[in-house]
Amino acid sequence: MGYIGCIFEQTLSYMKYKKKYQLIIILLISVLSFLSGLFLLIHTNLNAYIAKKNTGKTVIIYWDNNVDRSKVEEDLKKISSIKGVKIEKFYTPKDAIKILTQGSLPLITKYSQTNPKIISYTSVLAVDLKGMGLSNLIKRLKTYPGIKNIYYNPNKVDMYIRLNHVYKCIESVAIGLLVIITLVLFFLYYSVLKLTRIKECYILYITGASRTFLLVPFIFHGAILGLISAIIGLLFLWGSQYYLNYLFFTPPIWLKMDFLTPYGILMQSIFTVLLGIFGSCLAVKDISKKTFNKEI
Amino acid sequence: MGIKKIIKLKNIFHAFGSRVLFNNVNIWIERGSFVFLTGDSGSGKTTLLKILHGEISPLSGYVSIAGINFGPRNKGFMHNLRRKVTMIHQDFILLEDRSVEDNIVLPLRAMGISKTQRQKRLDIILRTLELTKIRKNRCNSLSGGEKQRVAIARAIIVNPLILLADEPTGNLDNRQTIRLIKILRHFNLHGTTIVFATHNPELKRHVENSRLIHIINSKIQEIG
Ligand SMILES: Nc1ncnc2c1ncn2[C@@H]1O[C@H](COP(=O)(O)OP(=O)(O)OP(=O)(O)O)[C@@H](O)[C@H]1O
Ligand SMILES: [Mg+2]
Repeated sequence: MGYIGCIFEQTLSYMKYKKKYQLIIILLISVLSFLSGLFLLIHTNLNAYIAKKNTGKTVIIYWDNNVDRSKVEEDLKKISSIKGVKIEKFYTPKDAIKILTQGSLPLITKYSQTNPKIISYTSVLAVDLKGMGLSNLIKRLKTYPGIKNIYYNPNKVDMYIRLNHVYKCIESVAIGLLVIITLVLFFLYYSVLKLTRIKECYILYITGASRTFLLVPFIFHGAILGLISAIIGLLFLWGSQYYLNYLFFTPPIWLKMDFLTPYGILMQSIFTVLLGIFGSCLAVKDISKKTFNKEI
Repeated sequence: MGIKKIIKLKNIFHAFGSRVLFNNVNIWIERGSFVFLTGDSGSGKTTLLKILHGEISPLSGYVSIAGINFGPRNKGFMHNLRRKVTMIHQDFILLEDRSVEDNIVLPLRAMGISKTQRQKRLDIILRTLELTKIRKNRCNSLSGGEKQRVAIARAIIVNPLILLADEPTGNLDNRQTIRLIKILRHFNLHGTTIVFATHNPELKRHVENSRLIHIINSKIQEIG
Protein backbone atom coordinates (compact mmCIF):
# COMPACT_ATOMS: atom_id res chain seq x y z
CA MET A 1 0.00 0.00 0.00
CA GLY A 2 2.77 2.38 0.97
CA TYR A 3 4.50 2.19 -2.36
CA ILE A 4 1.33 2.50 -4.44
CA GLY A 5 0.25 5.42 -2.28
CA CYS A 6 3.58 7.09 -2.97
CA ILE A 7 3.16 6.55 -6.71
CA PHE A 8 -0.21 8.33 -6.57
CA GLU A 9 1.29 11.07 -4.45
CA GLN A 10 3.99 11.57 -7.01
CA THR A 11 1.37 11.79 -9.77
CA LEU A 12 -0.51 14.42 -7.75
CA SER A 13 2.68 16.31 -7.20
CA TYR A 14 3.24 16.40 -10.96
CA MET A 15 -0.25 17.81 -11.35
CA LYS A 16 0.24 20.35 -8.60
CA TYR A 17 3.40 22.03 -9.83
CA LYS A 18 4.32 23.75 -13.09
CA LYS A 19 0.69 24.51 -13.83
CA LYS A 20 1.54 27.01 -16.55
CA TYR A 21 3.36 24.38 -18.57
CA GLN A 22 0.58 21.90 -18.00
CA LEU A 23 -1.86 24.46 -19.34
CA ILE A 24 0.22 24.76 -22.50
CA ILE A 25 0.27 20.99 -22.80
CA ILE A 26 -3.48 20.71 -22.30
CA LEU A 27 -3.99 23.40 -24.91
CA LEU A 28 -1.82 21.50 -27.38
CA ILE A 29 -3.54 18.16 -26.88
CA SER A 30 -6.99 19.78 -26.81
CA VAL A 31 -6.33 21.24 -30.24
CA LEU A 32 -5.25 17.79 -31.37
CA SER A 33 -8.31 16.18 -29.87
CA PHE A 34 -10.57 18.84 -31.39
CA LEU A 35 -9.08 18.52 -34.86
CA SER A 36 -9.23 14.74 -34.95
CA GLY A 37 -12.76 14.88 -33.55
CA LEU A 38 -13.76 17.41 -36.18
CA PHE A 39 -12.39 15.15 -38.84
CA LEU A 40 -14.29 12.18 -37.46
CA LEU A 41 -17.49 14.25 -37.21
CA ILE A 42 -17.35 15.57 -40.76
CA HIS A 43 -16.23 12.23 -42.10
CA THR A 44 -19.11 10.26 -40.61
CA ASN A 45 -21.72 12.89 -41.43
CA LEU A 46 -20.61 13.46 -45.01
CA ASN A 47 -20.36 9.75 -45.64
CA ALA A 48 -23.86 9.24 -44.36
CA TYR A 49 -25.07 12.22 -46.40
CA ILE A 50 -23.52 10.99 -49.62
CA ALA A 51 -24.70 7.46 -49.02
CA LYS A 52 -28.24 8.67 -48.38
CA LYS A 53 -28.23 10.39 -51.75
CA ASN A 54 -27.86 7.01 -53.36
CA THR A 55 -30.32 4.79 -51.57
CA GLY A 56 -33.82 3.56 -52.29
CA LYS A 57 -33.51 3.27 -56.00
CA THR A 58 -35.19 1.20 -58.62
CA VAL A 59 -33.42 -0.90 -61.21
CA ILE A 60 -35.37 -2.66 -63.95
CA ILE A 61 -33.94 -5.67 -65.71
CA TYR A 62 -35.09 -6.98 -69.05
CA TRP A 63 -33.99 -10.40 -70.12
CA ASP A 64 -33.37 -11.37 -73.71
CA ASN A 65 -36.41 -12.63 -75.61
CA ASN A 66 -35.01 -16.06 -76.30
CA VAL A 67 -33.89 -16.81 -72.73
CA ASP A 68 -35.92 -19.54 -71.16
CA ARG A 69 -37.53 -19.38 -67.78
CA SER A 70 -35.19 -21.70 -65.88
CA LYS A 71 -32.22 -19.49 -66.80
CA VAL A 72 -34.11 -16.38 -65.72
CA GLU A 73 -35.01 -17.94 -62.40
CA GLU A 74 -31.43 -18.93 -61.87
CA ASP A 75 -30.37 -15.32 -62.45
CA LEU A 76 -33.08 -14.07 -60.10
CA LYS A 77 -31.86 -16.40 -57.39
CA LYS A 78 -28.35 -15.02 -57.73
CA ILE A 79 -29.58 -11.43 -57.76
CA SER A 80 -31.77 -11.87 -54.72
CA SER A 81 -28.78 -13.13 -52.76
CA ILE A 82 -26.97 -9.80 -53.23
CA LYS A 83 -27.14 -7.77 -50.05
CA GLY A 84 -29.31 -4.67 -50.26
CA VAL A 85 -31.17 -5.87 -53.35
CA LYS A 86 -34.77 -6.94 -53.18
CA ILE A 87 -36.83 -8.34 -56.05
CA GLU A 88 -39.92 -6.22 -55.97
CA LYS A 89 -41.74 -7.54 -59.02
CA PHE A 90 -41.30 -10.18 -61.62
CA TYR A 91 -43.20 -10.42 -64.84
CA THR A 92 -43.25 -13.18 -67.41
CA PRO A 93 -43.74 -12.08 -71.05
CA LYS A 94 -47.36 -13.15 -70.67
CA ASP A 95 -47.87 -10.91 -67.66
CA ALA A 96 -46.21 -8.12 -69.53
CA ILE A 97 -48.61 -8.42 -72.45
CA LYS A 98 -51.56 -8.56 -70.13
CA ILE A 99 -50.47 -5.54 -68.18
CA LEU A 100 -49.56 -3.67 -71.33
CA THR A 101 -52.89 -4.31 -72.96
CA GLN A 102 -54.73 -3.31 -69.82
CA GLY A 103 -52.50 -0.28 -69.70
CA SER A 104 -52.11 -0.45 -65.95
CA LEU A 105 -48.44 -0.73 -65.63
CA PRO A 106 -47.16 2.83 -65.73
CA LEU A 107 -43.66 1.75 -64.86
CA ILE A 108 -43.33 -0.49 -67.87
CA THR A 109 -45.06 1.85 -70.26
CA LYS A 110 -42.92 4.67 -69.04
CA TYR A 111 -39.76 2.83 -69.87
CA SER A 112 -41.01 1.03 -72.94
CA GLN A 113 -38.84 3.33 -75.03
CA THR A 114 -35.78 1.90 -73.34
CA ASN A 115 -36.84 -1.60 -74.25
CA PRO A 116 -38.67 -1.89 -77.56
CA LYS A 117 -39.06 -5.60 -77.07
CA ILE A 118 -41.07 -5.14 -73.95
CA ILE A 119 -42.50 -8.61 -74.14
CA SER A 120 -39.78 -10.36 -72.18
CA TYR A 121 -39.03 -11.51 -68.71
CA THR A 122 -38.83 -8.38 -66.59
CA SER A 123 -37.95 -7.78 -63.00
CA VAL A 124 -38.14 -4.65 -60.90
CA LEU A 125 -35.48 -4.50 -58.20
CA ALA A 126 -35.67 -2.33 -55.11
CA VAL A 127 -32.10 -1.39 -54.42
CA ASP A 128 -30.89 -0.15 -51.09
CA LEU A 129 -27.16 0.09 -51.57
CA LYS A 130 -24.88 2.67 -50.01
CA GLY A 131 -21.82 4.26 -51.46
CA MET A 132 -20.42 2.74 -54.62
CA GLY A 133 -22.91 -0.11 -54.34
CA LEU A 134 -25.26 0.91 -57.13
CA SER A 135 -22.66 1.35 -59.81
CA ASN A 136 -21.03 -1.90 -58.73
CA LEU A 137 -24.38 -3.65 -58.93
CA ILE A 138 -24.95 -2.39 -62.47
CA LYS A 139 -21.48 -3.54 -63.46
CA ARG A 140 -22.24 -6.93 -62.02
CA LEU A 141 -25.63 -7.29 -63.65
CA LYS A 142 -24.09 -6.47 -66.99
CA THR A 143 -21.94 -9.59 -66.72
CA TYR A 144 -25.04 -11.84 -66.69
CA PRO A 145 -25.30 -13.23 -70.23
CA GLY A 146 -29.09 -13.51 -70.33
CA ILE A 147 -29.75 -9.92 -69.34
CA LYS A 148 -30.37 -7.75 -72.35
CA ASN A 149 -31.11 -4.40 -70.86
CA ILE A 150 -30.86 -2.66 -67.53
CA TYR A 151 -32.69 0.48 -66.71
CA TYR A 152 -31.52 2.82 -63.99
CA ASN A 153 -31.12 6.54 -63.55
CA PRO A 154 -27.56 7.17 -64.64
CA ASN A 155 -27.53 10.73 -63.35
CA LYS A 156 -27.73 9.62 -59.78
CA VAL A 157 -24.92 7.12 -60.14
CA ASP A 158 -22.70 9.58 -61.94
CA MET A 159 -23.40 12.25 -59.39
CA TYR A 160 -22.57 9.90 -56.61
CA ILE A 161 -19.31 8.87 -58.25
CA ARG A 162 -18.34 12.47 -58.84
CA LEU A 163 -19.33 13.54 -55.35
CA ASN A 164 -17.50 10.64 -53.87
CA HIS A 165 -14.42 11.44 -55.89
CA VAL A 166 -14.34 15.07 -54.80
CA TYR A 167 -14.95 14.06 -51.23
CA LYS A 168 -12.19 11.43 -51.28
CA CYS A 169 -9.74 14.00 -52.66
CA ILE A 170 -10.60 16.54 -49.97
CA GLU A 171 -10.47 13.81 -47.38
CA SER A 172 -6.98 12.67 -48.29
CA VAL A 173 -5.73 16.26 -48.16
CA ALA A 174 -7.39 16.63 -44.77
CA ILE A 175 -5.83 13.40 -43.52
CA GLY A 176 -2.41 14.55 -44.69
CA LEU A 177 -2.80 17.90 -42.96
CA LEU A 178 -4.11 16.22 -39.85
CA VAL A 179 -1.13 13.89 -39.69
CA ILE A 180 1.31 16.77 -40.06
CA ILE A 181 -0.48 18.89 -37.47
CA THR A 182 -0.66 15.90 -35.13
CA LEU A 183 3.04 15.26 -35.44
CA VAL A 184 3.92 18.91 -34.84
CA LEU A 185 1.59 19.28 -31.85
CA PHE A 186 2.67 15.95 -30.45
CA PHE A 187 6.31 16.91 -30.73
CA LEU A 188 5.62 20.21 -28.97
CA TYR A 189 3.74 18.39 -26.23
CA TYR A 190 6.50 15.91 -25.67
CA SER A 191 9.18 18.62 -25.66
CA VAL A 192 7.32 20.83 -23.21
CA LEU A 193 6.67 17.88 -20.93
CA LYS A 194 10.29 16.84 -21.07
CA LEU A 195 11.60 20.32 -20.27
CA THR A 196 9.10 20.71 -17.44
CA ARG A 197 10.01 17.50 -15.66
CA ILE A 198 13.65 16.94 -16.49
CA LYS A 199 14.95 18.26 -13.17
CA GLU A 200 12.40 16.47 -11.03
CA CYS A 201 13.10 13.17 -12.77
CA TYR A 202 16.81 13.69 -12.31
CA ILE A 203 16.39 14.40 -8.60
CA LEU A 204 14.18 11.35 -8.21
CA TYR A 205 16.78 9.30 -10.01
CA ILE A 206 19.70 10.44 -7.85
CA THR A 207 17.70 10.03 -4.67
CA GLY A 208 16.89 6.39 -5.30
CA ALA A 209 13.76 6.17 -7.44
CA SER A 210 13.34 2.89 -9.28
CA ARG A 211 12.35 2.59 -12.93
CA THR A 212 8.76 1.92 -11.89
CA PHE A 213 8.64 4.98 -9.72
CA LEU A 214 9.88 7.17 -12.54
CA LEU A 215 7.75 5.63 -15.23
CA VAL A 216 4.35 4.94 -13.65
CA PRO A 217 3.49 8.35 -12.16
CA PHE A 218 4.67 9.91 -15.39
CA ILE A 219 2.32 7.72 -17.41
CA PHE A 220 -0.56 8.53 -15.06
CA HIS A 221 0.31 12.18 -15.44
CA GLY A 222 0.24 11.90 -19.23
CA ALA A 223 -3.04 10.00 -19.11
CA ILE A 224 -4.67 12.64 -16.90
CA LEU A 225 -3.46 15.44 -19.17
CA GLY A 226 -4.81 13.47 -22.14
CA LEU A 227 -8.18 12.92 -20.48
CA ILE A 228 -8.62 16.59 -19.56
CA SER A 229 -7.68 17.56 -23.11
CA ALA A 230 -10.08 14.99 -24.56
CA ILE A 231 -12.94 16.49 -22.57
CA ILE A 232 -12.03 20.04 -23.58
CA GLY A 233 -11.61 19.01 -27.21
CA LEU A 234 -15.00 17.28 -27.23
CA LEU A 235 -16.67 20.30 -25.64
CA PHE A 236 -15.28 22.53 -28.35
CA LEU A 237 -16.35 20.00 -30.95
CA TRP A 238 -19.85 20.02 -29.54
CA GLY A 239 -19.92 23.79 -29.83
CA SER A 240 -18.58 23.80 -33.34
CA GLN A 241 -21.20 21.29 -34.40
CA TYR A 242 -23.83 23.99 -33.88
CA TYR A 243 -21.88 26.37 -36.01
CA LEU A 244 -21.43 23.75 -38.75
CA ASN A 245 -25.15 23.07 -38.76
CA TYR A 246 -25.82 26.76 -39.02
CA LEU A 247 -23.42 26.79 -41.98
CA PHE A 248 -24.66 23.72 -43.87
CA PHE A 249 -28.26 23.19 -42.87
CA THR A 250 -29.46 25.58 -45.54
CA PRO A 251 -30.65 25.09 -49.11
CA PRO A 252 -29.51 23.46 -51.26
CA ILE A 253 -27.35 21.25 -49.06
CA TRP A 254 -29.53 20.54 -46.05
CA LEU A 255 -26.69 18.72 -44.38
CA LYS A 256 -27.51 18.09 -40.77
CA MET A 257 -24.48 17.22 -38.66
CA ASP A 258 -25.06 14.68 -35.96
CA PHE A 259 -22.66 14.63 -33.03
CA LEU A 260 -20.31 11.68 -32.61
CA THR A 261 -21.95 8.49 -31.43
CA PRO A 262 -21.10 7.29 -27.91
CA TYR A 263 -18.74 4.84 -29.56
CA GLY A 264 -17.12 7.69 -31.51
CA ILE A 265 -16.78 9.72 -28.32
CA LEU A 266 -15.18 6.77 -26.58
CA MET A 267 -12.76 6.16 -29.46
CA GLN A 268 -11.91 9.83 -29.61
CA SER A 269 -11.22 9.97 -25.86
CA ILE A 270 -9.15 6.80 -25.94
CA PHE A 271 -7.14 8.20 -28.83
CA THR A 272 -6.39 11.39 -26.92
CA VAL A 273 -5.52 9.62 -23.68
CA LEU A 274 -3.23 7.25 -25.57
CA LEU A 275 -1.52 10.25 -27.14
CA GLY A 276 -1.00 11.66 -23.66
CA ILE A 277 0.44 8.40 -22.38
CA PHE A 278 2.61 7.87 -25.43
CA GLY A 279 4.05 11.40 -25.13
CA SER A 280 4.80 11.00 -21.44
CA CYS A 281 6.45 7.61 -22.04
CA LEU A 282 8.62 9.10 -24.75
CA ALA A 283 9.49 12.07 -22.54
CA VAL A 284 10.53 9.98 -19.54
CA LYS A 285 12.48 7.59 -21.74
CA ASP A 286 14.28 10.51 -23.31
CA ILE A 287 15.02 12.16 -19.98
CA SER A 288 16.35 8.89 -18.68
CA LYS A 289 18.53 8.28 -21.70
CA LYS A 290 19.93 11.79 -22.06
CA THR A 291 20.23 12.95 -18.45
CA PHE A 292 21.28 9.86 -16.64
CA ASN A 293 22.27 7.64 -19.46
CA LYS A 294 20.02 4.75 -18.46
CA GLU A 295 17.34 2.95 -20.41
CA ILE A 296 13.93 2.84 -18.78
CA MET B 1 31.95 -6.71 11.20
CA GLY B 2 35.36 -5.34 12.05
CA ILE B 3 37.15 -3.41 9.38
CA LYS B 4 35.04 -4.27 6.41
CA LYS B 5 35.89 -2.32 3.28
CA ILE B 6 32.65 -0.66 2.29
CA ILE B 7 34.14 1.25 -0.65
CA LYS B 8 36.60 -0.34 -3.01
CA LEU B 9 37.91 1.29 -6.18
CA LYS B 10 40.34 -0.71 -8.23
CA ASN B 11 42.37 0.54 -11.21
CA ILE B 12 39.98 3.34 -11.95
CA PHE B 13 40.60 5.24 -15.15
CA HIS B 14 38.35 8.11 -16.04
CA ALA B 15 38.61 10.99 -18.48
CA PHE B 16 36.41 13.57 -20.13
CA GLY B 17 37.64 13.70 -23.70
CA SER B 18 41.41 14.16 -23.49
CA ARG B 19 41.22 15.44 -19.91
CA VAL B 20 42.35 12.52 -17.76
CA LEU B 21 40.94 12.79 -14.23
CA PHE B 22 41.90 9.44 -12.73
CA ASN B 23 44.67 7.24 -13.89
CA ASN B 24 44.90 3.88 -12.19
CA VAL B 25 43.39 5.01 -8.94
CA ASN B 26 42.82 2.62 -6.05
CA ILE B 27 40.88 3.56 -2.94
CA TRP B 28 39.76 1.45 0.01
CA ILE B 29 37.50 2.90 2.62
CA GLU B 30 36.48 1.07 5.76
CA ARG B 31 33.00 0.97 7.10
CA GLY B 32 32.31 3.76 9.57
CA SER B 33 35.22 5.95 8.60
CA PHE B 34 35.17 9.67 8.03
CA VAL B 35 37.22 10.60 4.98
CA PHE B 36 38.04 14.09 3.81
CA LEU B 37 38.68 14.48 0.11
CA THR B 38 40.71 17.45 -1.05
CA GLY B 39 42.20 18.60 -4.30
CA ASP B 40 42.43 21.67 -6.48
CA SER B 41 39.39 22.97 -8.24
CA GLY B 42 38.87 20.81 -11.28
CA SER B 43 40.94 17.95 -9.91
CA GLY B 44 37.93 15.61 -9.95
CA LYS B 45 36.46 15.54 -6.44
CA THR B 46 32.90 15.83 -7.70
CA THR B 47 33.55 13.27 -10.39
CA LEU B 48 34.95 10.81 -7.87
CA LEU B 49 31.92 11.23 -5.61
CA LYS B 50 29.60 10.74 -8.58
CA ILE B 51 31.42 7.54 -9.42
CA LEU B 52 30.82 6.38 -5.87
CA HIS B 53 27.18 7.40 -6.23
CA GLY B 54 26.74 5.37 -9.41
CA GLU B 55 25.91 8.46 -11.45
CA ILE B 56 29.05 8.16 -13.53
CA SER B 57 30.55 4.87 -14.64
CA PRO B 58 34.33 4.98 -14.87
CA LEU B 59 35.80 4.30 -18.29
CA SER B 60 37.63 1.35 -16.86
CA GLY B 61 38.20 -0.24 -13.49
CA TYR B 62 36.15 -1.90 -10.84
CA VAL B 63 33.90 -0.30 -8.25
CA SER B 64 32.35 -1.94 -5.21
CA ILE B 65 30.11 0.17 -3.00
CA ALA B 66 28.19 -1.23 -0.06
CA GLY B 67 28.29 -4.68 -1.61
CA ILE B 68 27.12 -3.52 -5.05
CA ASN B 69 29.66 -4.01 -7.79
CA PHE B 70 29.85 -2.29 -11.10
CA GLY B 71 32.32 -1.26 -13.73
CA PRO B 72 32.41 0.53 -17.04
CA ARG B 73 29.33 0.49 -19.29
CA ASN B 74 27.15 -0.14 -16.32
CA LYS B 75 23.55 -0.48 -17.51
CA GLY B 76 21.83 -1.05 -14.19
CA PHE B 77 19.48 1.51 -12.73
CA MET B 78 21.07 1.11 -9.28
CA HIS B 79 18.30 2.61 -7.21
CA ASN B 80 19.22 0.10 -4.52
CA LEU B 81 22.66 1.67 -4.35
CA ARG B 82 21.30 5.18 -4.12
CA ARG B 83 18.95 4.26 -1.30
CA LYS B 84 21.98 3.33 0.79
CA VAL B 85 24.44 5.84 -0.59
CA THR B 86 23.28 9.43 -0.68
CA MET B 87 25.00 12.51 -1.94
CA ILE B 88 24.94 16.18 -1.08
CA HIS B 89 25.55 17.80 -4.44
CA GLN B 90 27.77 20.81 -4.73
CA ASP B 91 25.05 22.64 -6.67
CA PHE B 92 22.28 21.33 -4.37
CA ILE B 93 19.91 20.32 -7.23
CA LEU B 94 16.72 21.32 -5.46
CA LEU B 95 13.26 21.78 -6.91
CA GLU B 96 13.08 25.56 -6.73
CA ASP B 97 9.30 25.80 -6.89
CA ARG B 98 8.71 23.39 -4.00
CA SER B 99 8.80 23.97 -0.31
CA VAL B 100 11.72 22.99 1.90
CA GLU B 101 9.70 20.06 3.28
CA ASP B 102 8.74 18.75 -0.13
CA ASN B 103 12.34 18.74 -1.24
CA ILE B 104 13.57 16.96 1.84
CA VAL B 105 11.03 14.12 1.82
CA LEU B 106 11.39 13.40 -1.89
CA PRO B 107 13.79 10.44 -1.45
CA LEU B 108 11.52 8.90 1.18
CA ARG B 109 8.58 9.10 -1.22
CA ALA B 110 10.66 7.49 -3.95
CA MET B 111 11.34 4.64 -1.55
CA GLY B 112 7.64 4.20 -0.83
CA ILE B 113 7.74 5.23 2.81
CA SER B 114 4.34 6.22 4.22
CA LYS B 115 3.41 9.79 5.00
CA THR B 116 3.32 9.43 8.78
CA GLN B 117 6.77 7.86 8.82
CA ARG B 118 8.08 10.60 6.59
CA GLN B 119 6.61 13.30 8.81
CA LYS B 120 8.31 11.91 11.93
CA ARG B 121 11.71 11.82 10.32
CA LEU B 122 11.18 15.21 8.71
CA ASP B 123 10.49 16.95 12.02
CA ILE B 124 13.69 15.63 13.53
CA ILE B 125 15.82 16.53 10.53
CA LEU B 126 14.34 20.03 10.29
CA ARG B 127 15.16 20.65 13.92
CA THR B 128 18.66 19.27 13.59
CA LEU B 129 19.50 21.53 10.67
CA GLU B 130 17.63 24.57 12.04
CA LEU B 131 15.20 24.65 9.17
CA THR B 132 11.95 24.42 11.13
CA LYS B 133 11.11 28.11 10.74
CA ILE B 134 11.40 28.04 6.97
CA ARG B 135 9.95 24.59 6.38
CA LYS B 136 7.06 25.93 4.29
CA ASN B 137 9.16 28.37 2.25
CA ARG B 138 9.84 27.77 -1.37
CA CYS B 139 13.41 26.94 -2.22
CA ASN B 140 13.82 29.77 -4.71
CA SER B 141 13.45 32.25 -1.84
CA LEU B 142 16.18 30.69 0.31
CA SER B 143 19.69 31.95 0.93
CA GLY B 144 22.68 29.94 -0.26
CA GLY B 145 23.32 28.55 3.21
CA GLU B 146 19.70 27.58 3.66
CA LYS B 147 19.65 25.78 0.33
CA GLN B 148 22.81 23.99 1.34
CA ARG B 149 21.16 22.78 4.52
CA VAL B 150 18.09 21.62 2.60
CA ALA B 151 20.39 19.58 0.35
CA ILE B 152 22.09 18.14 3.42
CA ALA B 153 18.74 17.32 5.02
CA ARG B 154 17.59 15.51 1.90
CA ALA B 155 20.73 13.40 1.92
CA ILE B 156 20.68 12.44 5.59
CA ILE B 157 16.94 11.89 6.05
CA VAL B 158 17.23 8.36 4.65
CA ASN B 159 19.85 7.45 7.24
CA PRO B 160 22.37 6.40 4.62
CA LEU B 161 25.03 3.77 4.92
CA ILE B 162 27.41 6.06 3.07
CA LEU B 163 27.12 9.82 2.81
CA LEU B 164 28.94 11.57 0.01
CA ALA B 165 29.18 15.26 0.81
CA ASP B 166 30.43 17.50 -1.97
CA GLU B 167 31.63 20.77 -0.49
CA PRO B 168 28.71 20.86 1.98
CA THR B 169 30.16 23.78 3.93
CA GLY B 170 30.82 25.99 0.92
CA ASN B 171 27.92 28.30 1.73
CA LEU B 172 27.90 28.02 5.51
CA ASP B 173 29.32 30.40 8.10
CA ASN B 174 31.86 29.27 10.67
CA ARG B 175 29.39 28.42 13.38
CA GLN B 176 27.24 26.39 11.02
CA THR B 177 30.26 24.65 9.55
CA ILE B 178 31.31 23.44 12.98
CA ARG B 179 27.72 22.49 13.72
CA LEU B 180 27.42 20.53 10.50
CA ILE B 181 30.64 18.67 11.18
CA LYS B 182 29.21 17.74 14.58
CA ILE B 183 25.97 16.51 13.02
CA LEU B 184 27.85 14.45 10.46
CA ARG B 185 30.12 13.14 13.18
CA HIS B 186 27.03 12.06 15.07
CA PHE B 187 25.79 10.10 12.04
CA ASN B 188 29.30 8.78 11.58
CA LEU B 189 29.40 7.44 15.11
CA HIS B 190 26.14 5.64 14.40
CA GLY B 191 27.68 3.82 11.49
CA THR B 192 27.41 6.10 8.47
CA THR B 193 30.56 6.17 6.39
CA ILE B 194 31.25 9.71 5.26
CA VAL B 195 33.27 11.00 2.32
CA PHE B 196 33.56 14.74 2.58
CA ALA B 197 34.97 16.73 -0.34
CA THR B 198 36.29 20.13 0.67
CA HIS B 199 38.74 22.86 -0.19
CA ASN B 200 39.51 23.30 3.48
CA PRO B 201 41.83 20.58 4.86
CA GLU B 202 41.70 22.39 8.22
CA LEU B 203 38.33 20.74 8.84
CA LYS B 204 40.09 17.46 9.51
CA ARG B 205 41.10 18.81 12.90
CA HIS B 206 37.47 18.72 14.02
CA VAL B 207 37.09 14.99 13.48
CA GLU B 208 39.23 12.52 15.35
CA ASN B 209 40.49 9.46 13.53
CA SER B 210 39.53 10.87 10.17
CA ARG B 211 41.44 10.26 6.98
CA LEU B 212 42.40 12.77 4.35
CA ILE B 213 42.73 11.84 0.71
CA HIS B 214 44.18 14.27 -1.77
CA ILE B 215 43.69 14.17 -5.52
CA ILE B 216 46.67 15.40 -7.46
CA ASN B 217 47.81 14.76 -11.02
CA SER B 218 45.12 12.13 -11.62
CA LYS B 219 46.38 10.17 -8.62
CA ILE B 220 45.38 9.72 -5.01
CA GLN B 221 47.58 10.70 -2.11
CA GLU B 222 46.86 9.59 1.41
CA ILE B 223 47.79 12.48 3.64
CA GLY B 224 46.71 11.19 7.00
N1 LIG C 1 30.28 15.95 -17.83
C1 LIG C 1 31.50 16.47 -18.05
N2 LIG C 1 31.93 16.61 -19.31
C2 LIG C 1 33.14 17.10 -19.58
N3 LIG C 1 33.99 17.52 -18.64
C3 LIG C 1 33.62 17.40 -17.35
C4 LIG C 1 32.36 16.89 -17.00
N4 LIG C 1 32.26 16.89 -15.67
C5 LIG C 1 33.40 17.40 -15.20
N5 LIG C 1 34.24 17.71 -16.21
C6 LIG C 1 35.58 18.25 -16.07
O1 LIG C 1 36.29 17.40 -15.20
C7 LIG C 1 37.12 18.14 -14.34
C8 LIG C 1 36.83 17.77 -12.91
O2 LIG C 1 35.57 18.23 -12.54
P1 LIG C 1 35.03 18.10 -11.05
O3 LIG C 1 33.72 18.77 -11.00
O4 LIG C 1 35.10 16.69 -10.65
O5 LIG C 1 36.12 18.94 -10.22
P2 LIG C 1 36.13 19.31 -8.68
O6 LIG C 1 37.35 18.75 -8.12
O7 LIG C 1 34.86 18.91 -8.05
O8 LIG C 1 36.24 20.88 -8.74
P3 LIG C 1 35.62 21.93 -7.72
O9 LIG C 1 36.51 21.94 -6.53
O10 LIG C 1 35.73 23.23 -8.46
O11 LIG C 1 34.24 21.53 -7.45
C9 LIG C 1 36.86 19.60 -14.65
O12 LIG C 1 37.92 20.04 -15.48
C10 LIG C 1 35.57 19.60 -15.42
O13 LIG C 1 35.61 20.64 -16.37
MG1 LIG D 1 33.25 19.85 -7.37
